[in-house]
Amino acid sequence: MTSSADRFAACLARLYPASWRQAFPDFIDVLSAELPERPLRVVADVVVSSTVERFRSMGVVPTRPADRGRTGLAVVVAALLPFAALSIGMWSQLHTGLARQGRSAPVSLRWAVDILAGALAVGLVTATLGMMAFALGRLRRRPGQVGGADPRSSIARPAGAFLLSIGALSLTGWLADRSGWYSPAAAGLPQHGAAQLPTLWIRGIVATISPAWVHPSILVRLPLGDLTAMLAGPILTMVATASLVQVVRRLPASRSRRVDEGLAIGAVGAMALAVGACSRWLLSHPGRQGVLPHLARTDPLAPGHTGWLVVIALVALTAVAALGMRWVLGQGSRWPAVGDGRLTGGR
Amino acid sequence: MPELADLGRYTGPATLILSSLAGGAKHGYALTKDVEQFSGVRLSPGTLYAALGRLVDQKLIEPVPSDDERRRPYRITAIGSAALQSQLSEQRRVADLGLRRLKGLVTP
Repeated sequence: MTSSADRFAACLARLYPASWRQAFPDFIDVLSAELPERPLRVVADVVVSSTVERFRSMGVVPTRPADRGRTGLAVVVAALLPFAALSIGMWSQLHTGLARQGRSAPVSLRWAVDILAGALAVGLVTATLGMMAFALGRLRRRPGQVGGADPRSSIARPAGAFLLSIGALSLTGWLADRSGWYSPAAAGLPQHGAAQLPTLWIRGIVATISPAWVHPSILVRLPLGDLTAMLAGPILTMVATASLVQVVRRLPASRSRRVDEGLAIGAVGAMALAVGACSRWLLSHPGRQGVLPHLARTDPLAPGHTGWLVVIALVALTAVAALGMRWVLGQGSRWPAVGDGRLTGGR
Repeated sequence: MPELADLGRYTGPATLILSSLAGGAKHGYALTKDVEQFSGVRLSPGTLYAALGRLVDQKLIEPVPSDDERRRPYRITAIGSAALQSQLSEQRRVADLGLRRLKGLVTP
């Protein structure tokens, strides 16, 4: 007969990936035996462990110490992708605001906008160089080379998923753009021809960062195009990011660790610089949009709720990239343990 | 050769698991009971199986073929034995050092 502990254990086990459950068939038995005695501790332990296993199966957490460098670089690139989209949206918004304000805008803020643009350029060039380094490593790979891609895995599926999700994001951006709802995030970007494609993609991502999420009355009144972009955007962004991580992880590591380290430091440095430029904007224009809309109308540079949410997202993405950089820089070392010479003053 | 220190926060549980498997192959529940008996540490299932997964990845332990599909016993490999030997020797060295220094602190 199945007890309630058995049923609860079976539910908890579903938090793990299916492949993991198949590898450890007796996990549920051990779990159901332990649950009645110390339920809170066991549940907390399972929630943490299963989350880590989910991330491991996605390739976001290194599975072996040797994978740390590769995974770290993948995390940096994956964080840089949405960061670049949000920052370009931010830059467009500031650019539009500055154009409206004319010469009365403070010089330091103009510098902040230029720094933001420069940091973005550095970040995008770094990401391109990173991709080129991976591509060169793949071309030069010799059989049996340490750090090479797993021959059983293919980059075709994640690359296809990445392109599909980016295409779908562009489509949702187009729907949002045609809905008639003005977005300053895309106003300063190309609106015609092939250059419009990244604009639509950015529009699709930026539409997800909206204060309408916490205002149900506004949410239901949004045009269908914006609503579609808001709902589909987070899922498509996650799919694009996860697919990119898989692509980067499955490509072979670059031949020089210094190249990886330089790319990671360059990307995170550029992201930190961009966040600094945004901070300058927020400090000089705290913004009252939403609380006192008439004041926001007099200040075209006021960030409003969305601006703050975007900056919070940028800070979070920089933190994630910094974690990835830490893995890249520490790929040759291992964690110190009790008994290690580094803790006991040498052997 | 892989080192247990490479397992990060799972180094402690991995040392206990390998020490238990050094006495013979065991499945998950038997491992939990044995570790609790000889060390007083009760490994939670999430931690136990996370450590088992990493030990299998590092080829320090391996599953034993079994007729029972619901229970999969594990045994220590030669690499695992060497890694455990190295880890326990280090721990003994630190323990001996600490005890000697503590002895020096005790003044009449």
